[in-house]
Amino acid sequence: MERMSTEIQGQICIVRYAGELTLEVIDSLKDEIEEYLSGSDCMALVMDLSKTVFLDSSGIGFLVHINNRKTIKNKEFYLLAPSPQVRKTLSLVKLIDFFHIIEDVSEIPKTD
Amino acid sequence: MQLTRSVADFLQEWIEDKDLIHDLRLVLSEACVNVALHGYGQQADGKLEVHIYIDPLKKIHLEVRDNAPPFYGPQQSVYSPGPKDESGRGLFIISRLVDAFAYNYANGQNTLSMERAIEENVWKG
Repeated sequence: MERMSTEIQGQICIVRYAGELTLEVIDSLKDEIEEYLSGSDCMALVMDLSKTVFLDSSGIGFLVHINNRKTIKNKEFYLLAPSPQVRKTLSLVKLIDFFHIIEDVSEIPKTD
Repeated sequence: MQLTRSVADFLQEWIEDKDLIHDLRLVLSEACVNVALHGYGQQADGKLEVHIYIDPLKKIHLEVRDNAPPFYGPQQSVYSPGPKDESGRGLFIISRLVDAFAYNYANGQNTLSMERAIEENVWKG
């Protein structure tokens, strides 16, 4: 079962997503994420994928979409502790080094 | 997608290796999504069949059949999209995870066939 929750730590917005990141969920997720990208409170968006158990090309497209949008919105975008399944799929499509992957939120540089 | 989850559950009765089942599920998911998005269109209904052929201790053959208009994707070269491309990775993923795949259109039906050899030591029983 898919489950999304959010946590705000200062100017860092953490979106935790548990379940399968596939075509069935990305439209609604895009709408929710866009709120964080468009607002001024959140300078860094973190997608916690530690409990994401399945990622297909639609889910990859969703992550690339956010990454493209953050450039327009002048924000930072991080993938937090992707699960082994997510890492494997990102490696398969040669994107494992494209995204900024962190293992802990403390790795995000502090902003004034 | 419930269909691909069910196939993965079925394959667990035959194969020990969870990584391999994940690969096969991903392949099947990409094939089905292609039908939904590019065959019928996301808002349209249509018939989709998944056939699983198991050659014990040797290989698994998956077929996805649908009655959407002919799909010419697999006849084109499979390429890896650029990192900023938001779509177009489905066939690339399939090509990386199976040993052979082929597309056929006959009698109003598309068939995407995909085959992967499976090492003897990962079969159950």
